[in-house]
Amino acid sequence: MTGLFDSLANPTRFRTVSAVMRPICFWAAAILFIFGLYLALLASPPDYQQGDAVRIMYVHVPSAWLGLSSYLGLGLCALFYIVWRHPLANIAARAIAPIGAGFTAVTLITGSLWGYPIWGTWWVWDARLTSMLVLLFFFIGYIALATGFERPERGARMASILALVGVLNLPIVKFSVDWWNTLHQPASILRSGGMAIDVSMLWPLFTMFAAFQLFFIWVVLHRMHWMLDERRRQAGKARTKAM
Amino acid sequence: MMIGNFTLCLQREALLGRGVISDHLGQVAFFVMIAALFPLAVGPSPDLLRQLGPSVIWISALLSALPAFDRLFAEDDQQGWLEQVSLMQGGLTGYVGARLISWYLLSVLPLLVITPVLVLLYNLPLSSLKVLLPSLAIGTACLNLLGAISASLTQGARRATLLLALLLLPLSLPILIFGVAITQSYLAGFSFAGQAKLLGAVFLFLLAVSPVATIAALRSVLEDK
Amino acid sequence: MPVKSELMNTKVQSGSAEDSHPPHFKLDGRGITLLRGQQQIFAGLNFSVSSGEILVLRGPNGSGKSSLLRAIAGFLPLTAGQISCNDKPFDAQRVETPADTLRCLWYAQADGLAGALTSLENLSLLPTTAPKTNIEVQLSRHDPFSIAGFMHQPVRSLSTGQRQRVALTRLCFAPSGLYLWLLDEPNSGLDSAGHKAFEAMLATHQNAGGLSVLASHHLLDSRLKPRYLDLSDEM
Repeated sequence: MTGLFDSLANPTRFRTVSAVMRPICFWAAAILFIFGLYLALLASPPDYQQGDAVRIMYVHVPSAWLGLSSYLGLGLCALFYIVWRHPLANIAARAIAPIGAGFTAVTLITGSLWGYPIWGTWWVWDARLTSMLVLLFFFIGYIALATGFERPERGARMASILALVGVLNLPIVKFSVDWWNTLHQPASILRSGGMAIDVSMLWPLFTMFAAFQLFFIWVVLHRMHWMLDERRRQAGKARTKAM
Repeated sequence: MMIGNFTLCLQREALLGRGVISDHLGQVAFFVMIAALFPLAVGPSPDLLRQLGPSVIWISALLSALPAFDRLFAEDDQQGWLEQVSLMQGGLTGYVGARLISWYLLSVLPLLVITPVLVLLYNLPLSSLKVLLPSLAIGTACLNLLGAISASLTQGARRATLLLALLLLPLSLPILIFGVAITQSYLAGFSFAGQAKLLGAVFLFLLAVSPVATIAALRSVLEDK
Repeated sequence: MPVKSELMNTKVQSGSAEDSHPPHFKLDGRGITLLRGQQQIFAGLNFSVSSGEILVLRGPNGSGKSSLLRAIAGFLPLTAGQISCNDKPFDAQRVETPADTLRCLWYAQADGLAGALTSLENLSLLPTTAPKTNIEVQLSRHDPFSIAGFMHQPVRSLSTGQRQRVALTRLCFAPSGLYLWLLDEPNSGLDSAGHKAFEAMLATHQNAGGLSVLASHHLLDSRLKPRYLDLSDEM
C-alpha cells in the first residue's frame, strides 16, 4: 500500500499514469452513463407506490455515496499529507473537496426534488437529508479554510488537520442526527418504504454508481493535473524572480 | 518535571485574568441578549416559551461563545508567547492545558451564574436548574475544546472570526442535540441518563482529540512566520 | 575602556558562580535546506557552534537569518539536512528533557512579554527562576539593562526600546551552561550603553559555557571571538 503510494506520489510518475487513466475513465464513464440512463429511465419499472418519481433515485443515491466517500478520501489524503508531507496528497485533497461538495449538493437538491411529489414538501428534516446537509457544511468549512490564508501551504496544513478532525467527528454527528431524528419523529418514509429494493432497480443503480465513480475519478485527475501545472508555473515564476 | 510549564502558564493566566474579565462579562451580556430576542420573534406565549426554553438557552450559549474564540490564541501568537512556551519543558501541551482551563473558568462561570435568570424569563421550573446547570457546564466544556481546535486552525486567517464560526458550528451539533435533550427529557418527566452519558462520551472524545489537533495547528502557526 | 572592564568583571562573576563543570555541547547543522513555499531560502548550509561559542548570522534582509534561527528552534521544519547535538538528533521542542540536555532560549521582535503585565511580572514568568521577590532582589544586585525604573509599569506602556531591554534582561536569569541562545536581531535599535550591556551579557553567557546563535547586522566586540556566517554567500 505504502509502496504503491510512494511510486504514485512522484509527480512525474503520477502524470504518466494519469495520462493513461483519464481517457479510459472518461469514455468508460460516458458509456456507462448512457447505458445507466437507459436502464434507469426506460428499462427499469416504475415504483408501485412512487411511480416514475423513483427514477430520481438513480442520481440521488450514487451522489450521496460519492459525497460521503469523497469526504473519507479527503480525510485519507489529509492523513497522507500530515504524516508524509507530500504535496501530491494535498493536491488530491484540494481536487476532491469541491467535487465532493458538488455531489453532496446534488444529493440535497435531488432529495428535495424527490421529496416533493412524495412528502408534499420540498424539505423534511429527515435524518439522512440532515446528515448530508451537515456534510455539505463540513465541505464548505474545509474549502473556506484551505483558501483562507495568504500562504497556500498554511491553508493546506490547517485544512488537513480539519479534515482529520472532521472524519473522526463525522460518525458522532451522524449518530447524533439519527438519534435526534428518532427522538423527534417516527421512522421516516425513506426508511420504511425505500430500502427494500427490487433487483430490477439494483442493476441501473449500480451502473449509475459505476458511471458516477468513474466520472469522479476523471474530474479529480483532471483537476490534479491542472493544479500541478499551476504549481510548476508559479515555481518557474518564483525562480525567474529570484534570478 | 512532567508538569513542566503548566504551572507557569497557569500563573500567567491568573495574572492576565484580571484584565480580561470585562471581555467575558460582555460575552455573558450577549448570551442574555440572544435569549431575549426569541420571545420578541416568536411571541410571548408562556407555553411556547416554556417549550422552547432549553433550546434557546443552549443556542444562546453556543452563539455567545463564538465571537470570543478568535482571541483564544491571537495575542499569544502575535506577542511571541507561543515561541517561548514551545521551547520550555512541557511545550505547547502545558500551555494549551492552562489556557483552556482559564478560558473555561472565565467564560463559563459567569454564564452559569446568569442562567437562572433565563430560566425565570422562560417560565421553566427552577428545579430544572439542577439538570440544566451541570449539562451546560459539560456542554460548554465540549464547546471550548472544539473552540480551541477552530481557533488554532483559523489563527492568522483572513476573516478569521467568520471562518471560525463556519468550522465550529457543524462540529458542535452533537453537543447541541444531546445537551438540549437532557433538559427536555427532564422537563417531560423521562429519564435523562442516556443523554447525559452521550454528552459525557462526547466530552471524553473531545478531551482526547482536541489538544492533539490544537497543538498540531499551533505548530503550523509557528512554522509560518 | 569601559567595555573591557565590564567584560572582565563578568568573567570574574561567572567564574565564582559556576564551580561545577557544565556539560559540553556541540551543535552541528549539516546540509540544511529550507524552503518557503516554492521558494528556496538556502541549500546545503553547514554550521557548527559549541559551548562557549558565539555564531553571528549575517546577510541582507531576506537572506534567511531568521529562518535558520527558526529552524534550529524547530519551528520551521528542514526540507533537507539535519541538526544534531553531540552527534544525536537535536529537537529543541522535546516536551520532556532530562537535566543536562541543551535547551533553547528564544529572543525575537515578538518578545513573548504580556502587554498587560508589568516588567517584573513578566520576568517572574520564567521556567528557570524562582518567585517574583527573588527576581526583584536579583535585579537590585545586577540590572544590566537598567530596567529598575519601569519595573512596575505594564509592558504595554513602555517604549519599544524599554521593552527590548526587559526582554533581554530575561535572558540573564537562566543558567547559562545548559542553554543555547537563539537571538533574532537582539541588538538592533539599542543605544551604545545598551549595546555594551548586551555584549557583557553575551560574555557572561559565553564564559559559563553557553552557546549563542544570533542574527544581527552589527559586528560584535572582537574579544567575544564571534564567528560570522554570511548567508548572502549561500544563495
